Amino acid sequence: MVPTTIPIQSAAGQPAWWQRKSVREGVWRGFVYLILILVALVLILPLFWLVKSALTFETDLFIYPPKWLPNPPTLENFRGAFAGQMFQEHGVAAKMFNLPLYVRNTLIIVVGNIIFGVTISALVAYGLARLRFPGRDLIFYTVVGALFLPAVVLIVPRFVIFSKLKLTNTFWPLIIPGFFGYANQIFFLRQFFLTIPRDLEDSAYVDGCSTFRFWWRIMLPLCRPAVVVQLIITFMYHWNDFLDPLIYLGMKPDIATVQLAIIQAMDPRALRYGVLMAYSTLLVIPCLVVFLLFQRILIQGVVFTGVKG
Amino acid sequence: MAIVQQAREPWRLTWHTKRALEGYLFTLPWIIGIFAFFLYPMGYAVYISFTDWRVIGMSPWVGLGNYKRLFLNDPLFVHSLKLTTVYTVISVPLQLFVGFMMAYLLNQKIAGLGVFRTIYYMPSVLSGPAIATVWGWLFNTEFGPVNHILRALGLTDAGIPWLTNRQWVLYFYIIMGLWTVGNTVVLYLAGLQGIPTEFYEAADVDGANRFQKLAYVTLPQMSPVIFFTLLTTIVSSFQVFTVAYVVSKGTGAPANGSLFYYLYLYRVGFSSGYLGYAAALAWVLFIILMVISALLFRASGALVYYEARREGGA
Repeated sequence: MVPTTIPIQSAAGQPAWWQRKSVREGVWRGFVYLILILVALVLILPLFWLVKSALTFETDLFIYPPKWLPNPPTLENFRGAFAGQMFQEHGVAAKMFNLPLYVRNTLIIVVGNIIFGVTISALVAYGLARLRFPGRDLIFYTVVGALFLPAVVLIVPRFVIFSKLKLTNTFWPLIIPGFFGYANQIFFLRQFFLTIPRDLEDSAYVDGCSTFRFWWRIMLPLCRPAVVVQLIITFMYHWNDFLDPLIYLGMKPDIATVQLAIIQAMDPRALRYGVLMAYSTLLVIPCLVVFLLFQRILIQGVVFTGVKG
Repeated sequence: MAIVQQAREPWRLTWHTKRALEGYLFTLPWIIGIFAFFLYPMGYAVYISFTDWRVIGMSPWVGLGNYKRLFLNDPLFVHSLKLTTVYTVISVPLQLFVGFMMAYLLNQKIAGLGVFRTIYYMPSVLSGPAIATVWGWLFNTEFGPVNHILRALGLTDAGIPWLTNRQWVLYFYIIMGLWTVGNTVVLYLAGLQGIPTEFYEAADVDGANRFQKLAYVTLPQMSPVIFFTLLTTIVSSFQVFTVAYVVSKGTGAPANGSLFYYLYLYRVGFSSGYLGYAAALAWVLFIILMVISALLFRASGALVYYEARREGGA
C-alpha cells in the first residue's frame, strides 16, 4: 500500500534539515546553554557589583552612567576598612570601626556553637540512630517537629527568659541553645550514622569498647564528611546570622558581630560607601572560600537532608 | 553474638538495659531542651501574649486584649499580614517554578554542570547584611546598574522607583528572594537525577515527546520533593526579615511598603518594647503557618505521588 501523505522530504529521501533529530537536538542544547549562562550572569551580578564598588574610588562611586569596571582600581577602601575608617568627620576619615573586634566576637559565638552545638547534636544523633530504648521514636519525632516549628513563637519568650537570667548583652543567648543540640544537625547526623554498618559496633563491643568511646573514636571519624559539613554550616550560619545578634546584642559596638556592625555603621553620619563595600567584601570572602573548597560535600549535605527529609 | 551471659552476676545490668540507659544519657540534652527550650518557652509565650508585657516595668494581665486590638484596631497588623501574604503568593510559586526550570535544564547532560551548580548555589551561602547592602545600590532609581540596563534596553525612561515606591518595592524583594533559588535548584537536580532511567526509556518506546515525559514521568516522580520545598519555602517566606531590615534600615520604608510581618513584630516587640503584643503577633503567624501546613499535608495525599516501596526496600 502506498502512503497517501509523506513527511516533507528532500530528494534523497531524508527529512528536511530542520526536522533532522541532530539539528533539533543542537538547537535545544544551544537554548539550554543560553539560559543557563544568562541566569549565571544575573546571579553573579550582586557579587560582582560588591567587589567592583569596593575597588572603586569614593568619588567615582555615585556617577551615572555607572561604570562596570573600576578605572583606575584602588585598594584605598580596603585600607580604610582595616583601619576602621568607615566614616568621614569634618572631611577627615575617622576611626570608629573595629574590624578585628567584630571578627573576634563572631568567632566566640562560632566556636561556642561548635564546642557545644555540634558535639551535643552528634551525641544525641548517635543515641537516636544506634541505641535502642523505649521512647526513642517519640524523641526522634520531636526532632522532626522542631525542624518544622516556625521559630517565630520562640523569639519573644526566649528573650524574656534570657533577660530574667540577665544574659542579654552577652554572647550566651547565642551559644546556650547549642547545649541542647540543634534539630537540623541532629537530624542530619542521625541519617548519616544510620548508613554505617552495624557490624562495626558489634565487633567493637565484643572487644570491650564502651559506647561513648565508640562514638568518639570510631563513629565520628568514619562520618568525617558529615561532621565537617556541620562545622561549615555552623560557621556560615553564625557568620551571617543577624536576627538573634540584633535582639541580644543590640546596638552596642563593643559586642557587635561582623554583620551587626554593618547596621550600626548605617548611621546618618557621613558613611564612606566604598569602605562599607570593602568591609562587606571582606565578610563575604571567608564564606565564599569555604564554600568553594567544600562545595561538593556541602551540596551533598543539603541534598541529603532535603530529599531524604 | 555480643550478648554475654551475665546470669551469675545479677547486680550487673544486662547488655540491653545498659544500652537503653546509655540511649537516654546520649539524648538527655535534647530531652531537657524539648522542655526547657521549646515547650516551656511556648507555654510562656501564651502567657506573655495575654499580658501587656513591657521590656521595662510592670506586665499586667490583659486577657485577650492584645488579640482584640490586633484584629480590630491595628491597621499595621492587617497591612503587614497582607503584604507578607502577597509576597508569599507571588514569590513561592515563582521560586519553585524557576528552581524547577533551572534544575531541568541542568539535567540535560550538559558540560560544566559542576560550574553552573556552584554558581547557582553560591548566593545561598552569602545571605546576610553584608550582601544586602549592595542590593539597595543595584536597584537605586537614579544611578543603579539595574535601571541602567533597563534604560539601555528601552524598557524605562525615568527609571523604576524600586526602593522609593511602595508598590515597586515588593517586586524588589521578590527578585531578591529569587537570588537564593539555588537552594531549590540543588534539591530538584538531585531529585531529577534520582528518577530511574527505565521510566524514560519506557516513555520513549511509547513515543512520548519532551513535554509528555515532563508531565507524566518527571513531575509525578518529583512531587514529594516539590511538596517539601513548597512547605519550607512558604514557612521561610512568611518569616522574611533580614533583607527588609537591612535595606530599609529597620523602618519598613518606603511608606511601610517593606513592613513585612516579622519586621513589624520585631519593631513592636524589640524596638518599642511591647513584648506582650509581639507574642500575640507571633502566635497569630504561628497559627496561620500551622493551618497552611495542615492544609498542604491534606492536599498532598491527592497530589503527591509516593512510589510504593521498591523491591528490597531501603
